[in-house]
Amino acid sequence: MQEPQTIDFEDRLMHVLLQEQLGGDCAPDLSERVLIRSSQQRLRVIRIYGTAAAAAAVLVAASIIWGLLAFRYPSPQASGGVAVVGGGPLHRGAQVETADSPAQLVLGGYCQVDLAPGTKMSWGGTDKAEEVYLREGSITCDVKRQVGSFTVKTDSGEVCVQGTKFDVQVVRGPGDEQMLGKRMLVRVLAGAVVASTTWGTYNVKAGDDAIVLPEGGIVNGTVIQKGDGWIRVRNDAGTEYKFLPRRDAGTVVTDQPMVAQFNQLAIGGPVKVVWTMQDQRRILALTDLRANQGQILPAGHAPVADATKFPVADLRWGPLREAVLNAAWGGEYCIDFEHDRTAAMPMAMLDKATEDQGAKRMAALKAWMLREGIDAAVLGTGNDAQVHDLSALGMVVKTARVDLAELQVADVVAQLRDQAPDTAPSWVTMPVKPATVTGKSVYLIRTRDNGFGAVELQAADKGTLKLRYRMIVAAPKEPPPQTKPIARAAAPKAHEEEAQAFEPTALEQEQAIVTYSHYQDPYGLWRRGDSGRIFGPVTQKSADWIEVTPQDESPIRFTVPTGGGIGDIVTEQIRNTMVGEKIEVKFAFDQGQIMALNIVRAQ
Amino acid sequence: MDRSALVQLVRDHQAGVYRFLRFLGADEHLAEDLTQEAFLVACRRDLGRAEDVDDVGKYLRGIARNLFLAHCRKNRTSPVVINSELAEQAQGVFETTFLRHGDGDDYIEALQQCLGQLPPRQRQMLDMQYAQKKSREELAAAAGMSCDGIKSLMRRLRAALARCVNGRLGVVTSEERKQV
Repeated sequence: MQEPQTIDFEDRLMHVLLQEQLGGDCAPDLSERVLIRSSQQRLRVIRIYGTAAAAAAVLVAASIIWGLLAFRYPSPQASGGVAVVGGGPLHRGAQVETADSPAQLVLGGYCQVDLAPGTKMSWGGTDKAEEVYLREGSITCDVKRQVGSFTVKTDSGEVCVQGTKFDVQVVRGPGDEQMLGKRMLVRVLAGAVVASTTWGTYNVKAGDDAIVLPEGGIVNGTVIQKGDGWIRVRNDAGTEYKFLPRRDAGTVVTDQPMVAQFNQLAIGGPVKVVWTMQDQRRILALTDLRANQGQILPAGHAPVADATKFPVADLRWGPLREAVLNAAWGGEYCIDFEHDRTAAMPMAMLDKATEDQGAKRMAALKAWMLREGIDAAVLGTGNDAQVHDLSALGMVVKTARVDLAELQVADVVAQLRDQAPDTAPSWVTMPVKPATVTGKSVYLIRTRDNGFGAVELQAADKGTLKLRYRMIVAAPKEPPPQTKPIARAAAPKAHEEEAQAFEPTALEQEQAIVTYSHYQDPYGLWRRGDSGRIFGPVTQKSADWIEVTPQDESPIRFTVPTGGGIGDIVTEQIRNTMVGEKIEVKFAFDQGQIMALNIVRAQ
Repeated sequence: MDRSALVQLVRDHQAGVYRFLRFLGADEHLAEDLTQEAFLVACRRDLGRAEDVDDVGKYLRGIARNLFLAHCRKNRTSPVVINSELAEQAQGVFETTFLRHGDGDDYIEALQQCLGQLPPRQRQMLDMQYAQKKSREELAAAAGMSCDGIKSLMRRLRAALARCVNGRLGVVTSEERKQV
């Protein structure tokens, strides 16, 4: 007889929650898959009823069977200058492109797709549920009623129809290199379509047009977890995000170079992530800021300078920092000076090295430090022993003859400039015992990543070492003085009155906050006539556009209205605006463009 | 049910249904498939008429539970929960222990705080198992313990976390009641 099964459900619950919280085991966004399958389900239900009716009358059934045998789903037809990428006949999953001339595809006999020159798309879907994935360019679609469904997908959203005529265009902002700036512009010529975005679903009727902005954003933060094909990043506000590699448009092929880049990231290391929503948050661009390659560090951290690349006048001391290294088992006994973090080699990596406390363990530690950008460690000390030195890996180390507070940036740079870090890194010992007339152990350091600085070692409790250190950073350039609002001196006089009309009053400025919050939600889709104000820092600009990134939102690119007048004024305002500066933009949406009508510097 | 209502329904409840299926013993892929299936079943029954269902989450969990049991019967797999009686019991525990605290949000917040309080070594062991997905053998080698020792250690850690969470939420467990 089988024993009754007993299960500790509370333990199981905790196990599941830990898998979720620590391992990132969460449900992906299934809404798209459920939508697709629910529409297929409806079609199946209709088929089932049809079959049941047919079974009731043999004669009718015979004719239906004959009809089914005789009927073949129409093959795709292509005409004009369309090319299948990789060659061969047009098949589902194929990518097609047009060069300088237009082309036409007829899919399933009921969807006529006209491709404009310079269009790139993939053909997918199933019989009577045709789909195309538009990556670049523009298509016009004419779908016969009551035959099947037709869906156009883009990186920003999708349009699903049952029978109508409409066109879809993927629009890039001027100078846009990343998908984040791509938008989907939908114009309905007859009937109505349903446009779906990650923000919601909208009906767009004939004569109307709508633009869909992709959901996405930029997160500056720290890698707190990583796994097989994902990373979790905590931003400066403490919010955590899980990111996956991007998939190729319309496919399930993941971005393998990005997966490889995940493997190089260090837990605790700072990163900048540009992401978009593709059923989950997926990464468009990832910058590992450990080696100071991206020159962008989390708020409050000025970039540590490679002093050899800056004039000394542009360098200054960064903040004085303190750290305690703990040589006890389980303690953090390593330090990364550039990123102000302490760490310990993961226990699992000790592996067989634990069996051999000597060479193998040191080799494992060295390999880990090189990979993770760790600069120095407390070595060879038991839990209760006094720490005698700090071991730096591949760093240039020189004894300083003055106190930490008295060191001059120019002197430090001069002493370290000519001695590059070791290309085949070896250990350099920095004794804790005072070696200078000041009675303090102060050293000038140049890390393997060319961070210049100084460190003071202080013996603390047994098994621990206290450090005080400062790194040299690049001095921020002072912005030129500006007046508020942004000067319009160059604008023609006739336009000044027009511009005055857009000057916000105090009340309007107060209302601007309301207007902005109104736009937070429906942001995914803008309609002709939409207008309002957006507030945020300038993240990019050129002569005829400016990009603002409101807090926690995607960047929004505003263009200059054409035809002079306000356009000239806005051009001048953009010219006088600086990247990083907070501004408020009064805008209106029309003809697929979000146009800036006035720009005011934030109070 | 129209498309927007269906999308909203899925987004509101997918995390809860998936978590419940994992709790019942479904692996990641099965939990994902059955979560999707549960919404399709709900969609067929036109769950859009919300007035027919008092607790949509509970209704979806019921569908998910039945789908999971049907899957187990069909595939003769032997996950943690294998019969309808235990599945029902599991659903009860899930709802009374976890969901009654702000639909689980308060429970998770308390768990995160408790994780933050763990001593470094214990946290490292949890990270190795759950974040780095190391095998029990790897954990045992790293900590210099036997595999059984690791199993007990992990169980004790989970129990300690559960006590910490209950403490934060002001929950008196049956064990504590007995002691009183």
